[in-house]
Amino acid sequence: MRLAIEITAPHLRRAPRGFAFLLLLFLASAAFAQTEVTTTIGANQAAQIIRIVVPFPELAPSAGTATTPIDSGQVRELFFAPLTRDIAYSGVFAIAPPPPGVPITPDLLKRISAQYYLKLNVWIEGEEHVVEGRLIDASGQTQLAKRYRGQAAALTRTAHLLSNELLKALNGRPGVFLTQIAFASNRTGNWEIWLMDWDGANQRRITFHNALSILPSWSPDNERMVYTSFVRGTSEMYIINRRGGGRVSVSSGVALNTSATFSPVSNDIAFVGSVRGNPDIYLIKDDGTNIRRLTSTGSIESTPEWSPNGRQIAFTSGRSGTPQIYMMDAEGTNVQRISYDGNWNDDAVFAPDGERIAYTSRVNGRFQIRVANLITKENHIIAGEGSNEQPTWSPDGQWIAFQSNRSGKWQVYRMRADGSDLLQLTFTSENKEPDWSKKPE
Amino acid sequence: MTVAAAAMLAASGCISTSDFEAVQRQVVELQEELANVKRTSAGKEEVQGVNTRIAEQTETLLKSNATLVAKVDEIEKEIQAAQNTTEQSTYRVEQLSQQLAQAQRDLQDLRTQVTALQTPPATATTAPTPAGGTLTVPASAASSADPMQTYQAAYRDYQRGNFDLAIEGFRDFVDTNPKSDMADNAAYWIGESLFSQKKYRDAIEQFDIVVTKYPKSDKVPGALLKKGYSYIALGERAQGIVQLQYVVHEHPKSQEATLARQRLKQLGVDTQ
Repeated sequence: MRLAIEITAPHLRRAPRGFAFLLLLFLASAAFAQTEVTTTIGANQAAQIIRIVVPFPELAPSAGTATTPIDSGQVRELFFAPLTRDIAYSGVFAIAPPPPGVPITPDLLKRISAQYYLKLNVWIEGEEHVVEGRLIDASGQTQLAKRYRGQAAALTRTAHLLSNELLKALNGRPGVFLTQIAFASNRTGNWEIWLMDWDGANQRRITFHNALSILPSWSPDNERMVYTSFVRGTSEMYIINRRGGGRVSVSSGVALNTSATFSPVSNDIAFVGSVRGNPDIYLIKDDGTNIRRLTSTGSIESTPEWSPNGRQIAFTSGRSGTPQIYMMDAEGTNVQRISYDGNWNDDAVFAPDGERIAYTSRVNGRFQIRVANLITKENHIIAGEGSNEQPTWSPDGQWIAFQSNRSGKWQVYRMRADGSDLLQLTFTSENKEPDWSKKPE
Repeated sequence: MTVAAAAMLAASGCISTSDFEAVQRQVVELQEELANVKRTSAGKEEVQGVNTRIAEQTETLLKSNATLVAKVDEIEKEIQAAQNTTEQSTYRVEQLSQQLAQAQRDLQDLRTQVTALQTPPATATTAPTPAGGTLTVPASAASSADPMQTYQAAYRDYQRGNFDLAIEGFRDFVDTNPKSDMADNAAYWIGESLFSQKKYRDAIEQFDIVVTKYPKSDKVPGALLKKGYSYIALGERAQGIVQLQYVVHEHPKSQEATLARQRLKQLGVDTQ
């Protein structure tokens, strides 16, 4: 018979999110068999890549000479490095290296088959850094010109802004270079909520509970996050703004309060609540009113996730004996099973197009990310080393961030939705439960 | 918890718990007996004897408890396995019906081609069409677009939040494939799309279509419940309550009945 759920912080420290986490509490037995299997990440096949030349900025105004000396190392670290990272990972551009010491002319661009040249100027005017970017095509025409001013600390943001502009100008879709990834980290000794830029830079703590705080999830406007904290001894939901202020608790009156996630279209929050030890999916308004229970089976229901149109909720249920992905209408009606392959599927998340879902799927004893198409019902595994769990989509649907223990510790990684361009984003202590902000900025 | 388990078993009628209850009754009786013996200041030996009997009975009780617990677990597993089988079968049926639709379409195409072969062009002589020759089938005679593609396109529009397009697509699907296994689904999704757009009056009408046209569909409880929610959203509380009570009455064991009971409770209506 089941044991009553009793949450204590030490349990959670070891437990993954979602179903596994609940099952741990539910059956008081964890089972993560690990076997060493080496797999490879498939290579990215980008269709039409624009070749662009991006030389290090000239540290002077485009017209005239610099009057205030400028720290070239700082410009490289805070501006040029993130800018070239964005451009290289845009999936739209490839950076073409120009021969050294040769002035960049339309002729040279043609010779190295580059279509564009990004001419950069960075200098100091008074207290401010000025950044100027000009996108010049192979005929010598300026296609885009942007100028930004700000403190040295704003240089990185400027780099991402400029990258977004480039992408918008040449590809028509907004870039995700200013998006943020929330995650839980234990680097201060307690699990707290942290944020980082899309490339892993600028990691900063936003909760200071000195108590287990986990499972962050962004609001659709990128302004708030909802998460679970044990700051008052039991697990409760809290909402905090992206700068770490304005914290409010959402008291549901039921136990657990995990996996909370904002509706993309209303002020509802879906979460896992528990009454008499049975986890189910609930809805509650973000002001803590109007709680509604959506599932009511005797089995574990966990990890709710809204579809982008706000009308469907994907979740994990053990009603068929093993954890599987199901989907229901936002009212709890019309339940359909989604996953049939494998005996453990969990943590479903919708791609922004509403057409695909990514989830954690156990394959040959290890957890991998699986991407399934809800329309065609096709699915495929993105294999990687170690255990790979808790996927989250970038708002443009091009990337998936997830947690993996392939290095021996839980860390957050990022890859393209096809598994290519893998990048480790966190390195300090352990880091888990990534949640990508919901819209491009 | 174990008592609850036993009660659950008894309630579900799966196994008899009379033994369990009998042992429990015996323990109570023995405890009363012990109290009586103590009151009447009987000999130590007698008290000892009663105590031993209590210990024995308690052990029996615990054992029968353990057996019951094991049985509950077993039954739960069986229920889950059955659920799994049902879901797998549903999935398989869906796949098969799609394959069948495809086969029917292929057959239709073949028929069209055969007809084309049998009808020689007006200018042609009576010479037979050479084997392997190119067939020219007029576009008008070709079968219409793949119905599954129409369905999938409509579902894609729904997931993207293009509800108007989704409604149009699903209507198109239902109109051209009224006998398809997916017709009830499409009809439900039209209702759900209207509900999503807060067009509650139209949604009610559509959910009625689901219920009357496809009375055996698994979407019926959902349609009935959403109809009730639509009335409540329109402010027609009484009509909504009646509708929710109907769901509870007609489909008492469905997930939708549980949801209806909860909503009725919220509305202050006794669901007994």
